[in-house]
Amino acid sequence: MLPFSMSPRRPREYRSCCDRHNPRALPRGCTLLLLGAQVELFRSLQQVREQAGLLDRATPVDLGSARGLRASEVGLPVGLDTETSALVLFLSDKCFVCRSIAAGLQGALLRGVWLVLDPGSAGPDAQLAPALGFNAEDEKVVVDPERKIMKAIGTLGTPLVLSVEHGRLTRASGITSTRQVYELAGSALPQQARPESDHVKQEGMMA
Amino acid sequence: MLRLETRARAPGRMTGDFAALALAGVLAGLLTGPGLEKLRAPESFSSTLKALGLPSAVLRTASITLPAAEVLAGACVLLLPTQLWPIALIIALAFGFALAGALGLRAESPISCSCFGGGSEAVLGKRQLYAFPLWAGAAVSVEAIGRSWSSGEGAAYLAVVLAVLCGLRAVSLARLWRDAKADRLAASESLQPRHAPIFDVAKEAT
Repeated sequence: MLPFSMSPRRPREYRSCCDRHNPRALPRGCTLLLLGAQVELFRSLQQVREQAGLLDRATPVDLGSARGLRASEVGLPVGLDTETSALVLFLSDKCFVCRSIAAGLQGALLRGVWLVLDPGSAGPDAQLAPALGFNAEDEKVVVDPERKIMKAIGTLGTPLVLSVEHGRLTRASGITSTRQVYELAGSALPQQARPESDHVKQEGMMA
Repeated sequence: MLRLETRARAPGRMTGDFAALALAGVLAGLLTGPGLEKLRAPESFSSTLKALGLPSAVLRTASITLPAAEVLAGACVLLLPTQLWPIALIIALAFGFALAGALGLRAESPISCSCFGGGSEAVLGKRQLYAFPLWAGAAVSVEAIGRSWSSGEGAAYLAVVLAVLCGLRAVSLARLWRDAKADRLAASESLQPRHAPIFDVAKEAT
């Protein structure tokens, strides 16, 4: 049985283009126009954010010859060699964005996320700030005072996320926010980690 | 309201009816959606016409007339099943698209396509040339098979086509909204950074 009539030429009373029983085309056309206007609006905002450098996108980083190496070969903990999938987050005390991300993690390491911290000019004997909540005894928290691991990887830029799959280095990305750490780790950004202004403020935050 | 009928029809005829309807629906979708988008924001299409060498005197008229013709052809192939001119108009438009593609290939610099309105990075070229036989073949097939629906039914089918286009547009909108929200959250973090040092030392680097 057909869901609708497929009969040939219908009687005259059904030949009107705007049959009163089927007025749906016009409002849907209007809806299409409105949706198109909204898409254009968001694309315009995206261009503005791009110009202002406010795009929150991870930037791929070329690992070069380090790609495919075992994690322990570049100085990372041996435990990573047996991980099926893991992320290594590199943060430096010299970098304000790194400090912001470190604070944004609120001392909680996501599942599968390891931390490599560079004390910068704080010195090799520097202690982790207790306020951040990280446990220096944790196997997943590594202090790399002379950036040996980063030099072995071949990149010194931070913050950096390194993907380890089946114990081997696969790819790296430069990140700019705590949100990207959660996104790369496949977790939802916790409510506590969100900024206070989760809605548009009158000070002129972007939509 | 669509009416159910249990009139028996030959299976082959039913298949042909569905094929004609499907082809006509695709043609309607590919013409009315982009045509409406060009009418909503004619600047991108106008710049494409200008790059193709259209005189300034007719630029404004053409940037309205051509998209209107697209919408008309796409809508009427469903709304006026007994008329031949929508089919002829579709073939004429397809020839125009192919001609634009050929001119785009000859142009010194790439010409933006704007086939689907602004925001696309596609350029005019071989794609439009290869698409011409597909357009013409689809239009001719629809007429050859026969459009066996009424105008009222055609209006209902057009509403379905527009609903599908709205759905596709809503998917794009949702993705853009999600990206905008992510950028806003990240911007909040960078504009209100927490600079507490990671390492607890007396002297900090500046």
